Amino acid sequence: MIYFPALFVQALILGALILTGLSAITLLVMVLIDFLRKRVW
Amino acid sequence: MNGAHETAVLSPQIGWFLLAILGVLWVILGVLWGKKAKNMDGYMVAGRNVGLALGAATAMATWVTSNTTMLAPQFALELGVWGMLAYSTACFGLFLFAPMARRIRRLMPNGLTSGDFIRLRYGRPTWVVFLAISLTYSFAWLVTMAMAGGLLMNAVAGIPFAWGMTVILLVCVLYTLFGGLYAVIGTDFVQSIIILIGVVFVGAVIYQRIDFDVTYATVVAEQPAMLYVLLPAAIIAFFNNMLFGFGEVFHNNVWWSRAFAMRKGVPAKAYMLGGLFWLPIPIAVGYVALSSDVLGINLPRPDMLGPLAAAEVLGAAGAVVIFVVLFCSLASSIDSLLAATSDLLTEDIYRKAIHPSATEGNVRTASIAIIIGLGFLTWLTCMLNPGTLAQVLFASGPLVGSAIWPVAAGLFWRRSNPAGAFAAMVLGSACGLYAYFTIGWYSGALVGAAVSMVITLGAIVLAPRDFDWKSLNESNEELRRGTIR
Amino acid sequence: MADGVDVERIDSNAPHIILTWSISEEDERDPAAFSYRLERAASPDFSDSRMLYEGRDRASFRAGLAEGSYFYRVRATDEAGNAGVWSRPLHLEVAYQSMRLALSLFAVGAVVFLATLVLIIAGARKDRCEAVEQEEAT
Repeated sequence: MIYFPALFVQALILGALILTGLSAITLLVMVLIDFLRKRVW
Repeated sequence: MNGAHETAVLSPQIGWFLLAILGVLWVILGVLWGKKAKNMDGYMVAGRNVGLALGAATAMATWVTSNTTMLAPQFALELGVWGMLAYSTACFGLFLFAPMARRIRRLMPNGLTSGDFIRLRYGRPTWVVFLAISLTYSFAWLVTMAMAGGLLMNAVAGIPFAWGMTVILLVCVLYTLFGGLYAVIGTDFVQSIIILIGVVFVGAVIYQRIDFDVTYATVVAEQPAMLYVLLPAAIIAFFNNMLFGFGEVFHNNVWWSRAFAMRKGVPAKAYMLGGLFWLPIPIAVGYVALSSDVLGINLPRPDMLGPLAAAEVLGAAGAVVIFVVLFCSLASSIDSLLAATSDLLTEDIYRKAIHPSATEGNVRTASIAIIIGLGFLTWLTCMLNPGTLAQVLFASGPLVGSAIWPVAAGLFWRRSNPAGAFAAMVLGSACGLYAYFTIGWYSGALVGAAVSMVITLGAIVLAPRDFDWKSLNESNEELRRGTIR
Repeated sequence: MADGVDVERIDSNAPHIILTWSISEEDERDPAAFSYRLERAASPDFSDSRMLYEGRDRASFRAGLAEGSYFYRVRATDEAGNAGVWSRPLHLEVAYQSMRLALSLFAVGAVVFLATLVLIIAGARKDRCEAVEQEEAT
């Protein structure tokens, strides 16, 4: 049986955690920009 | 509740306290934001002026259902690394819906529901089939999520199932009722941020606590199938899962009403971003599956992995975070489904089929009655505690899968044939269900989508029809005039 | 005392299974008051048995199973520390679906996926052109 390599799995997990964090920051920045330009709704 | 798990990780007092705080918060925000709704257009599609930040957040939050936070770890447990990857591909549904949303917004500037589109595009018979599929799926989804809420409150904090389920449903009904889509989209944003931060926090702490090399070695020794590249079950499930996701997004009014609600120029970008934000979440929550053995967690139910792992590593603090994240992910989907499904009932059944000359006031009253009625029906079904309803949701894979091609081809191709769309949905559903029960669950959505695609294409080749896109632009003038309060 | 394993042999093509157990129905005491020990072995005589779980839960989800034979048994211990007898063993035989079935379903899925992708990408391109024309017309 072929296994997913450890490095691949580790990169997948760390990548996902970092991306999720970036998503949160991006969303907050986006809403701030929308708010300043009065374009939230 | 099978009572198989004996140790709630939080005390009921803390559980009730969190439930009360979150419940009151959502209702207050819902009422506040709901004040923006001056007419039915405001109530049903949030004034059609939602910006990019809220648009992207609501797409992401709605797709983060209990399915993501509870089912993604389960998928990873069952299918290993492939399970995480397969779950992540569900975001393709949002990516592909992005250009559809742009076109929907342009062709139907006054549209309200996905039912409107099918009726105007394909006529009544196809519309009836479509509504049957959509309502079956939506109701099954709504009930399973409210039940998941009850089970979860019970498992995490020992709150009795009926109470947890009732409270979460009641909160969602209340703020949806007062605030309409404004409240749903506004709370979705706050819920998105909470979900993302919670997932990163718990995920990172668990990652720090385990030694990755030891974890990997343990999995190889104890649960090797989780790391198999050539695991048949996973290879089989891969596209079925993806196509199920396509079917869910393409047909459901939850997604269409958001396309109508976004400001011109926003929908395509918002759905792309929403998909991107969602993409890492199934991996970030799912990877915990690999560490369950190392952490020494016994799983009485596979969907309990998230809460149990967080409680194991972070103690009560972790359980609080997970409780809040799960509450948010459930609420952000229950509210969306309540709003979108009641819109579908109000617009497609009440206004188009029962009372075509309804005034704005009539429609508003009907809408209130329908939200309350739908909430009550959901509650009643949950109280009967049908163990089979999750089965109904899974078995709706063939139904929604069969809607992919009729919807997409109808939206982009002038020559799509209404009879073809009708046959595609009926025969696609039938063949898909047959495959689901004879070949296995993992083939349902796949066969449904494949059969429906062949029929849709065949009908276009054999009997092409013409269609004037302008006829999709139905005026809803009577709904936009005047005010509702 | 513990007799939760109702079926002697289970054949599964999935790499996972959920095991549930309880004390025997004649016993009227609260099953939650017992502690349970779940063991697994590769042979039916449990000569190579390993403890998988010990505690009060009455179910355990086992994931990541490779193809092969597994034997499970469970035993209850009451609050006074009296251990009951071992349950009848459960024989789980894991044999995955054939690679041929897997790859053919994968291929069908890939075709539908790619066709949908083409439909939408081509449609989106045309939609952009139409949108520009519409803008110019108004």
